Amino acid sequence: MSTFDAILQGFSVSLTPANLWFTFLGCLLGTIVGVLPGLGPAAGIGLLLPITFTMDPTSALIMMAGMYYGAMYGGSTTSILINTPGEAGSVMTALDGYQMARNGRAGAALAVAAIGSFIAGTIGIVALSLLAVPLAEVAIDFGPAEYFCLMLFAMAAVSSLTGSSVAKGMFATMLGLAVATVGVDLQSGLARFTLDVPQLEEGIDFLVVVVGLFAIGEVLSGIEQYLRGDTAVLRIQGRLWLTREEWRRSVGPILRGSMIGFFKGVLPGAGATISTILSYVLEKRLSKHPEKFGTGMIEGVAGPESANNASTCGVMVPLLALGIPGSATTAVLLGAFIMYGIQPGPLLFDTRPDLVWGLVDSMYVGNLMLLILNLPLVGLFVRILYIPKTILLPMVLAICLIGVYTINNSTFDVWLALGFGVLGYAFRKLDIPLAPIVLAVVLGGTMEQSFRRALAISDGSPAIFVSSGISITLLIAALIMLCLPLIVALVARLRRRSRQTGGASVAH
Amino acid sequence: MTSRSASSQRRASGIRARVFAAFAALALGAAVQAQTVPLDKPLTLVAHTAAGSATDLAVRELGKALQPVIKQPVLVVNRPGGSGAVQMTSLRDGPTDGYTLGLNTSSHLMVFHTAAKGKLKRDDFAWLAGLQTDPFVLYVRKDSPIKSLQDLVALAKQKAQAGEKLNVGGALPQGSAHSIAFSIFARQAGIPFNWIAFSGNGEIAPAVLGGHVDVGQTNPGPLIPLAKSGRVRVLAVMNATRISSYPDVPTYAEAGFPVDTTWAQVRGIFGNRNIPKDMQDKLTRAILLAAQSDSWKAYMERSSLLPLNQDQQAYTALLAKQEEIGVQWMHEIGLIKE
Amino acid sequence: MTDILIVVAMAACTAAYAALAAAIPVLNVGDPLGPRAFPTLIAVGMGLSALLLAGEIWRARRRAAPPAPAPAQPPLGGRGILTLGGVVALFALYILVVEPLGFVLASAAFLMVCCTLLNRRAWRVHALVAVGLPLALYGLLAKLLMVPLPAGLLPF
Repeated sequence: MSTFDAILQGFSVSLTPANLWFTFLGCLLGTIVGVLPGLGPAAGIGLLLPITFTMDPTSALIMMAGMYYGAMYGGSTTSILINTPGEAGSVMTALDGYQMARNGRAGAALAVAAIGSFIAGTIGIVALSLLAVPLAEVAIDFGPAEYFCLMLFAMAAVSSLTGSSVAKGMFATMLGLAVATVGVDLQSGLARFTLDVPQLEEGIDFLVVVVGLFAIGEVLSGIEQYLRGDTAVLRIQGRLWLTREEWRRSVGPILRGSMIGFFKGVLPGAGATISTILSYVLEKRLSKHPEKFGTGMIEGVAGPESANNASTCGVMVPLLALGIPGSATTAVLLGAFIMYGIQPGPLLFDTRPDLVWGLVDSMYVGNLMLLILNLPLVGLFVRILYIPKTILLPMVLAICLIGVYTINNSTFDVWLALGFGVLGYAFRKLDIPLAPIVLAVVLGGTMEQSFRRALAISDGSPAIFVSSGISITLLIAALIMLCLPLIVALVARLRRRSRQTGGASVAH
Repeated sequence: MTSRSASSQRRASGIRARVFAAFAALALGAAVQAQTVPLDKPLTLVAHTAAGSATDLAVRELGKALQPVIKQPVLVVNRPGGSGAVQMTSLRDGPTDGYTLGLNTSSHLMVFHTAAKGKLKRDDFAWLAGLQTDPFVLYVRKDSPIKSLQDLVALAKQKAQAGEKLNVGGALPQGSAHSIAFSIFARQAGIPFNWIAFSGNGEIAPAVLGGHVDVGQTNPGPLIPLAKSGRVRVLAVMNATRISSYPDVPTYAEAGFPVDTTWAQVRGIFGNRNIPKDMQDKLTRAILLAAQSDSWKAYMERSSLLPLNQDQQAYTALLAKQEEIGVQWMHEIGLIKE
Repeated sequence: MTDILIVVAMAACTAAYAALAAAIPVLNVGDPLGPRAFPTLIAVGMGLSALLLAGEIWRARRRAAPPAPAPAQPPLGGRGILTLGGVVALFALYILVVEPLGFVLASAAFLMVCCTLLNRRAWRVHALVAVGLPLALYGLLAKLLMVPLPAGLLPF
């Protein structure tokens, strides 16, 4: 059966009333899970597993996939409205999305997030349908050395988010890296910085840091503003929808974000978060007004949101084509596959095309459903901003508590989150940037472990880091990324000097 | 007369048949009764990993199989942290009525000497029943020049002569059940190696497929998709006998390296040591009964797990032996001092 | 002034982290780099950023014109600081009671007290929210999604 016929057959599977219902249920539950800060799609799908024991495997997988990308949609809503990223892939959205809300453009932000996610999801699914098997091969070429270079590149990208004070940005990054070192070290088996507390053995969950710094910190800051007499409610300015101008500015970021998201998703490991970082930084570099990023630029929402949805399709590539899970969520999905006695792998495309294409086609359907669900809800969600702060802010605190509690079923994490919350409040007042902290927490662990694994493999020789085309390319890219502001400033200064000396043209 | 004796004979045989039937029903009823161990309250099983992981799935499958046996619902709670330290602490400090139990793996034993040293020990708990064994397998990518364990050892020795070491991708740090398993083999074969630690087969497999490490070690279950699709070659399984999901894979002994195969990941159920003895026996019986159910057997089959089905005495003895071996190795590697 | 305090805080942080890092034993296990290398690097990075910040402050002081003063904000006042501290204390209390009292009761209590602390007049609305929201969330999460949330004192 040709691939095209298989895709069509998949639609006949995914469009049955039962499967449509499961797609819808998955998307709805996923949105709820995504909105709740702390409870992520991995845990959500894990909790669905027992319910699905008795279901038809295709339907069960459709529902779980629905939850996965539904969570991506949900996460962006709280990021934009209350600066509370619902999960890892929504952190970058909060940077400019929340500022857009403060500028009265919450409706536009939510709309571009929904539309961008839909377009990106569609592009991702098409790419998945066509490229799954060959792409999986490329993913394998990434070994520990290549991963380290990739992380270095991503960290170099993070360095462009430091804001006005390089020193403060650097410290924030260092702090994030330090948090990432807490826990049992995978290479040596030794516990680091755990102070004999067993709950710290497995490290500090990145979501605890995010919810603490962003959400709780924001609430405390908001309460302070309120107590200073600022009881104004955020007004919505202009239309609830995107202006033509905003739409025009968003198309590029959406397309670029989709590409980045999908291809990064294919590589096992932190696909969503890293692809959103790369997308945000790319848009900032390409923009004519990079200094305005962080104050409410729509590109900063369109890009990352598209990237994180496209990455959910990307992570399906190693899962379906090889049976390798690339993230915590796909690991749970793989567990589900095994539970049903289904072997993912290239054979799956031949032996169970109904399952594979039924699943993939349900993703098209699910994406469409989420768009239809979310767009009208934009008006409703925006009304959340009208809730008086005295009620909204404590509500957010309560939601933070549940969200963080459900990560590990422990109050210890909530105490940690509170601590980070107070820290986040203090940092806001001291003008220390928060994004580098969170991003360093995500990247730091993999970066260190990959570096040490690579050295162990090469028996101590650093040559392994320049032994493959991929690592060399990434190292050069990282270098360029780091030096770009310096090069740009140098070129600008030389150009100014040549203009001042008048006449005599200086080379470059 | 004949007709009368015939009819009375028939009546007698009719009565006999009915009596027999009644006895049969009673016996069957009693037999059916013996297949359940009814409890008074719902049971709670505590998993030490997050929802969706392999051990979490095991707990949920057990819960499903236990419900018809104990005639009560089974609740699953996830209490991750400290490789089981948090779960064990909560069981030690929790109720002793026997309605809250946990699932343990072999790795729990090592925790007594690392994270929970001085705080928890094996005797704090009652090890009620051993459920499953998860052996270890070694695998390479399909176009690797290594075709057997002998080839692997040859490569290791070759590398050693060049001043390098064999790169083994495995789960968890040195000192874990996984790394000790390879250490046992490496000692037998007399080869040095680098243990490249990953967090699970999701990370080991790409490293093996891409040729970044020479060989990978994992449990058979997660490897099935890759093995069945022919992307990897499984060299050997560390078990006394071949396993059904990999019928063509020799055991280490068959491949020329007889090792002590008691070292494998085992999983079982444990609880607070102060649970009343008769309750402990009841629980052991219930768990072992659940392990005979069709749903449990089907799960074990497709996850490539081997049934252990040991009662409390046997399981406790096994764990004691494993802990001894483990501690010995941790000394050798240098992870613990005294 | 505040910036100097930041430098001091950064230096203190560096010292603490470096001290803990030095306590990490280095055994000859695992990779060639060892578990102490990366944390040491981070400590160096922290120290560097403290120095850099000191440099930035010094350079800013030497600049001719002082930076434009930030727009004056209405004062927070002692009462405000107490209220803010009160919210943090309430949240801490919330964490303490959520397992024994159960999610619904603890959340209801927290919401009621916290909202009313911020705005005494609307206590009736607060009562409604305090009862409605936890019940709705609990129903959604604990019953629909079967997320384990502490039931505490309530029977469901």
